[in-house]
Amino acid sequence: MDSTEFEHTVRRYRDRVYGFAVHFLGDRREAEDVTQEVFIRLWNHHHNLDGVSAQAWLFRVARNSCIDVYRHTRLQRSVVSDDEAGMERVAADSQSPDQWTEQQIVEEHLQTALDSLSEPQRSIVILREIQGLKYDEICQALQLPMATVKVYLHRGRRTLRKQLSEIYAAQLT
Amino acid sequence: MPPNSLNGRDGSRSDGSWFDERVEAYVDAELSADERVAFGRRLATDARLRAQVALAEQVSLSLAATSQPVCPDSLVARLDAISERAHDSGLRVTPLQTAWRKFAGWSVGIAASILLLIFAGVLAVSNRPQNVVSHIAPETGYTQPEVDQALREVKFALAIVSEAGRHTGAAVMESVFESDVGEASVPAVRNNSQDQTPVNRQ
Repeated sequence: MDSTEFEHTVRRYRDRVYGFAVHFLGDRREAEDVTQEVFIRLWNHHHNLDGVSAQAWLFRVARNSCIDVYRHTRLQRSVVSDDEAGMERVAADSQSPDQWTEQQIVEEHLQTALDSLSEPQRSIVILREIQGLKYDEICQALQLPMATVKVYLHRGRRTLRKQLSEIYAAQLT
Repeated sequence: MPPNSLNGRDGSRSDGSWFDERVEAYVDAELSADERVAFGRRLATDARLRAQVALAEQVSLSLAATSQPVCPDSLVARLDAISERAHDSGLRVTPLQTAWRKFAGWSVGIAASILLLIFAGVLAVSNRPQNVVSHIAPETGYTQPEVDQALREVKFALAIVSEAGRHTGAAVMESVFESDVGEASVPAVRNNSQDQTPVNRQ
């Protein structure tokens, strides 16, 4: 990978890596540091990446970095608290403030539920349900067999349903 | 029909885990045509099953609809700076901000140690008895003015170290309480041309 390919890869995947880190850590500032670190590592290892899927490599390194950060900083986290980008999206998406607030509340509940998942369930749920990766892409990124990924995904979803059942019960009845 | 009354693949197993898997497979549209028809028949007659499916669909939709965070301008600028350095030098890139943050934790200890040493040194010099110098044995060859000069040089060196320690402490405080240290040095340029590849689910 030369510097031009590197720049292209940064532009292509920076939001996805950042999004993964935000949902994993629930903290935007830490997610920024993780994203920066991931791409620095990408460049510093670019000689050894021939034939390796950039997406799989990036998500694998992002996950490992997130785990490191999570172990070292067990702070109160809130995705909603300083969501300046979200405020910008309100104007861009032409959502009403009420709709945006409602969406934020739902996302806060989702984030809390995600925080309750252990690894690798959390990574797998984020990659599958939020990032929209295919099963084989998740297997490649996390270096896990397909059956294992499916089992963890199932357990993660079940936990999420338990966590969110009361919240959604009112909407579903 | 209670959840555990739905029989397993072989018609004998009746655990909740398999039931959950069926619900998820239905929501993910991963059931075969025959399985989907059979599941649909049960769905039509089982209110509890419908509630489970509705919940699974709701959770899945909510996760899929979760807003995808976009890199803030400050991060884009940092990443652009990394790309530029990669273009310019082709060498290893050092994470300035994260490295500094990691160093900041050590800096507090280092600065505190330096300040403690300085304080102890100054205290020892200032409390030194005045007649100590007169106890220097004549065979050492040092005269009183030489000893006084050495003491002044030691005090001068301690003052320099003290000043350096003060600056280190201020820098550490700044890094701890002002988390945006280093961003000002990054050019605030954002290239809006993003190549976003649409995601296709399996």
